[in-house]
Amino acid sequence: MPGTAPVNGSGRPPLVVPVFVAVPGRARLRVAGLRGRPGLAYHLQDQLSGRDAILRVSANPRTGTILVLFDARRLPLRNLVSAVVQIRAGAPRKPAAAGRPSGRPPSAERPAWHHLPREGVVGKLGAAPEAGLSTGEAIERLALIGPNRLPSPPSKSSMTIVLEQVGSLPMLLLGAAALVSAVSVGLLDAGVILAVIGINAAIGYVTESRVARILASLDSLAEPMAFVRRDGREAVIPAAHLVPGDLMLLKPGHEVPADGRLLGAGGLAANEGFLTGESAPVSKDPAALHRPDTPIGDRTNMVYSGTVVTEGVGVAVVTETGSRTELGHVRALAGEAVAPPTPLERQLEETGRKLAMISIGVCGGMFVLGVLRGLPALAMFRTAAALAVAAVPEGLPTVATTTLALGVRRMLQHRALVRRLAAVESLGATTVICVDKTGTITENRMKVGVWHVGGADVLPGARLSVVGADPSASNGRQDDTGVTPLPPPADVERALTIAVLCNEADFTRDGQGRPRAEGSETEAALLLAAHEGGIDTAELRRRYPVAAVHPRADGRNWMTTVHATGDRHLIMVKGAPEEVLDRSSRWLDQGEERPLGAETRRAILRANARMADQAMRVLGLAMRESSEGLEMSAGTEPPDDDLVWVGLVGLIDPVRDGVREAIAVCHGAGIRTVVITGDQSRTAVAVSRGIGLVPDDRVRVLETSRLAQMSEEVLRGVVREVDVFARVAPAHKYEIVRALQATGEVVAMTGDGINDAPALKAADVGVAMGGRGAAMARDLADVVLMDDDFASIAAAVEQGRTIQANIRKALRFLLATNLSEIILTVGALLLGMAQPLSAFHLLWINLITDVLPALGLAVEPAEAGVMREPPADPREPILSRDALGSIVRDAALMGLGSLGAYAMALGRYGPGPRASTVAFSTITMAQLAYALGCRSEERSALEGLGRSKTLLGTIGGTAGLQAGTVIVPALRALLGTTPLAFSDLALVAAGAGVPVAACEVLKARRPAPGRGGGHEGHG
Amino acid sequence: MARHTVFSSESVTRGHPDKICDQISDALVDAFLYLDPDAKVSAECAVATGLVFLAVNSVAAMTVDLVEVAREVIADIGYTEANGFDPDTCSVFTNVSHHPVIDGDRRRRTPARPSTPSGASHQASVFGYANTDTPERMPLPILLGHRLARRLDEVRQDKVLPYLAPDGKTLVAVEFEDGRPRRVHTVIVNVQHTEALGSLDGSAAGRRRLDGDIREAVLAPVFATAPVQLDTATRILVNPTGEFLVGGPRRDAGLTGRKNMVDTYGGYARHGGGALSGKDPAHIDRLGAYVARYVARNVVAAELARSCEVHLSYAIGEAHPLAVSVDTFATGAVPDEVIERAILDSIDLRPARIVERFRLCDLPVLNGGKFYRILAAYGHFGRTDLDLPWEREDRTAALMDAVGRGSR
Repeated sequence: MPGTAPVNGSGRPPLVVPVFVAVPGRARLRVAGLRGRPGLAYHLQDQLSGRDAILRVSANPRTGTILVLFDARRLPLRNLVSAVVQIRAGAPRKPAAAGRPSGRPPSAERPAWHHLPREGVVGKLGAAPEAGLSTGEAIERLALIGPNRLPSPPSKSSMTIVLEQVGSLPMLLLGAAALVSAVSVGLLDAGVILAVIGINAAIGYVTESRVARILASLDSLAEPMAFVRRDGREAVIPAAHLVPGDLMLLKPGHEVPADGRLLGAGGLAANEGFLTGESAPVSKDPAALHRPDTPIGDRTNMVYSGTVVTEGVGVAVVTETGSRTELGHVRALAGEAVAPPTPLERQLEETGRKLAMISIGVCGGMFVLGVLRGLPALAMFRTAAALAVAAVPEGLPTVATTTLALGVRRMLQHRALVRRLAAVESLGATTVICVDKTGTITENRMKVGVWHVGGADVLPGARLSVVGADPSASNGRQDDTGVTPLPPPADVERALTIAVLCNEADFTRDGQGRPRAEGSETEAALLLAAHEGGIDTAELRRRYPVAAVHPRADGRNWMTTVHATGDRHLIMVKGAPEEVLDRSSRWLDQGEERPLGAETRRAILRANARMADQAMRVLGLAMRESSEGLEMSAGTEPPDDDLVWVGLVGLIDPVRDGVREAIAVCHGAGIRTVVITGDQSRTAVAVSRGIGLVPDDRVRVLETSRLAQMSEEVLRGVVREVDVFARVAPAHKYEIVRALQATGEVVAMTGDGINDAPALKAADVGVAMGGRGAAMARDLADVVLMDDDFASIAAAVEQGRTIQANIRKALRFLLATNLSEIILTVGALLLGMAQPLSAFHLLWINLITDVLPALGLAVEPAEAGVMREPPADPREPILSRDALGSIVRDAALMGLGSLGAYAMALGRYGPGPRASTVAFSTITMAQLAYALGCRSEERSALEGLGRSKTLLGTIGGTAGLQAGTVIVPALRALLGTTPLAFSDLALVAAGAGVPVAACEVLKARRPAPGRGGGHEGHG
Repeated sequence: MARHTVFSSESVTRGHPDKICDQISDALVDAFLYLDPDAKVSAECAVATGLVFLAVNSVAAMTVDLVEVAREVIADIGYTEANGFDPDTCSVFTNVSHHPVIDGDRRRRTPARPSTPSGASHQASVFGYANTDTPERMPLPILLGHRLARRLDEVRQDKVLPYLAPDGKTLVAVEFEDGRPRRVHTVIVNVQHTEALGSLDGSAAGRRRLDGDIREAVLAPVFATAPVQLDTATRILVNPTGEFLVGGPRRDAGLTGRKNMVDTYGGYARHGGGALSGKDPAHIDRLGAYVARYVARNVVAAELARSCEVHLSYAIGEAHPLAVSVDTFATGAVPDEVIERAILDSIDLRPARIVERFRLCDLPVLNGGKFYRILAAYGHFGRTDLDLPWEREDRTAALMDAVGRGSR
């Protein structure tokens, strides 16, 4: 292979092109066909990562490149490239490679296990299909392969947190100023500046590490266990100790601990939603063989790590463990999704950088001007440096971090844990919230909503004598009177009897001794409903023992059980209403069996439709007696036709409390809620209606099981119009997020599954469900909702908005006051006056009177109506042109007011400490008064002042400190101030008060820019 | 000297994208009416590659599973993943507005509906036509076009020509002499097929096979019963542009109500513009077109004319049509004004009465849940496979009485 330009020899485009290989031991290569093919990425990663001298491999199907970190001394780049070419071209690995100590399992090739017959799999893995591995063999393999565990993402080190805190440009500038001060002016100056840096960093560090601590405590320490057969015996071992070749035993309700090929199964079904997004359990068949390219969801002879057994039992031989499982694959992909910086992060960084540059420029200009005027260079430098320090908005990150951290604490009170500070304000800017239906909108539990027997709706109750009928359920057309009589209790009991007998769920007792049904959710709910309806389920089952069960199957959407009773048999059927109805010839009406006519059929289908309209899952119940001696063997079809129709039962996953209200709040706040569900459109529409998802009841649903195959333009086109995504796999949430983002939305996305991870990471705000979510989803999310409650999201948004508004207020305050200092200083210089403020004055202002009120502003309570405004456009700068103009105006007023006071003091006392003290006091007092004005951009400084306790406290405290500068001798000595006479105080009051009053007047006269409704009431 | 004219009409198979939409729309109408004959529905559909759009407004006791209905129709037409439209995995975008009604409460909750039960639901200008070309009293070109299209679907679904795929179009041009059909001028069949057919280039085997099969299995049986025959001069064009492998929504997007001429008279008569499919039959566009055809057919059956176009104008909220005008194209046995008066005297044209007389809203129930969706392919008029109330010639005696020819 010549040089670094590998070709595949036939003149076609090269399979692998080096993109960036300048750093030895680090190569980024473009691989043909990798873009958009996560499978290939995984294959490349999988094949490369075990090789000698390769340290880390990361293949990215989004960029189409692969990044390899390798030991350049042992592995020349050329060989690496050719290895990649070989893998890409599908060439088998040289036999020599397998002999290397690569730490790979015996099955280094990762065959398509679902394509192999059972014997082939067993042989390949060296498994023993009866006795299982010997303990010794298992330990050996464990040592070779490593534990069956997914690598956890690296947590942020303290060092990283500190570096992030001090690494911003304003902080670096301050550091430079400290350095220059230390060598040129004095250690005191440098110390003060360093103190500024230190306080900023400390606050940031404390808040971030506290969040990290809380987070760590969230992860459960419970280690998952696995059932295996080893040494011929069943055993329970930590799931981490599973190795390929182990026999794992699968039982209902347990999570599959590793990928495996089924050897045997009895009615086994698994919910693979985590991997495939398919919410319905998938029936498993150990005898099936699949083509190699069969998608995971259709490989019925395999079970996958992280999926859950819903029914039946099975034995599987472990094929893959740890990061080589499909779960590991998904996780590897998730590691590649990139989180965009949040709007505020972007803006604060940009604003900070810009202001720092401007400040440095102005101060540099002032220094030059001063020197040209013949002022002493050193003193001029001190003042310029101090002014720069005062003007650089280094308080900005501190205030922002504090605001966010305090916001985080407040959100924790709402059971929302924020993992990334900046996510708080992303929440504030959120325009679309994508939520999972199941578990977030609904409670994720099934319960019986209504029975429909004899043409009437019967509500489930504590006793079945409590029977209610919905007049709308009377199938009006069907009888002349328009009123359907209630069915006799015996008829309802018949329905309950079928629900109990044609049912594989079982009762157990929970910790408090209350009955709990175990089995599929639907059957458990039926059993519980019958129990609550006063049926002695155990007695019923004793009286009619099951003779045969015919489960649901493909093309047979119902289940049949046969029960012996004396010399007769009872045949009970439960299933899809249409199909059960098709098999019925009579129906139970007022205790009598009558022929089932077309009209009754339609009435029943209508009731079925109406129940479906209420988001119910509906089952039909029917039965018949048979006196024939029935030969019940597994192969024969049960005689389940010519049935007597008994009724319908509707099961519902109830909507959580508060969801409707929370969605209404989001509507008011201009935030669109988008529901994502694996359900069919119809259920999705019904649920959406129930929660008021769209204000005008016109629900727009996109039902698509193949989102990934939709063209990007089409998806982008429809994504803004869709309220509900139905039958969508969690894996497709990623495409939804990206498409929404491409249309300019700021997207919050909830998720709890492993497959949600890429979407959680790509979303502007990834929201994980702490209560039931996978640890992995929590690891990647920005916000963890500990009570899984949608209302918490709305509360979090409100907090986010408040925080953003508060940061804006603090920013306004900091900018205006800093600018006023510049105006005062430069103005004096231009007018040929002596310097009004000394370097220490400026640092004092910077450290005390700037930061404290800003912090007070940062914790302002939410302004009324914060959730009745549309979200801020993330593309809009945090300070609009309008706001910037008013900031400059306010700064000019304050600066000129102080300058005026200073000029009068100069006239009275001449240049010196006394005049400086007047200027110093005037500008600080003006700033303190201005802090009140910053409480609202529209409303008066004094409106609702009582609620701003913290701000009043900080202003009062600062004013006290400021008073100290003219009273306390030590401070006077430090700052070079003098006591002030009453006339001086009057001058200070006028110089400070008049400009701030003018600011207020101008604010009141400004037309409110499209933010209506702000004055109505208080929230 | 006899005047020779050529008139052509096209029809489409069930798999044509626009026709898919019509069938889905009408299947939804069926589904609603089957469970609630009083339902008000408007169901618009569009299809594109791998995508179905449904916009449905309903006022009914319940909703139906829109998506399931759409998928079922697509599967029933014969689309599969292989021939371009997978009924199970295509994406379905639904835009749904539903107003639930409890029995007896319908009118109050029905938005934008007139309060007089017999009034028209909207304004409409509708046309109906009939002539003596065929026993079905339909213009010959469209009738033959439909038969070819239907036959194409039959030989595909019965696996007579297993390589055919669902999308297709037919066109029949008939030469008329003094307004009476004389001969078949041209027949065009353009039908989607699979790779199994082979190449259609030049004289390739696939080309010879397709030409032969279509002539033998499609044209021959259709023209065997036609009033005019193919002759040596008839041009027969089968897939004249060559291969037609990619068809259905993957080739062209489709929309409900874009095959109005196919649904009616093949362009032989005027058209009011309102589409038929996707509207509940109480909608004036739909029932108006049906009753206009009914009137025209009865006029022709009463031998008051050999060719008759009836134009009815309805105003929203008003029961009786604003105007009834008849054009018999100089074939009338009596003056057109006399026929107009006879119509007004002998046929009740009030919408509510028509719905009642034709039992339009009960037809899905009476036909086991599938009526309008069957109607949505191969034309709404002149059907012999369905018992259509508007094709009944039960007002001829009354019409003849009204013009005073009853005792002739």
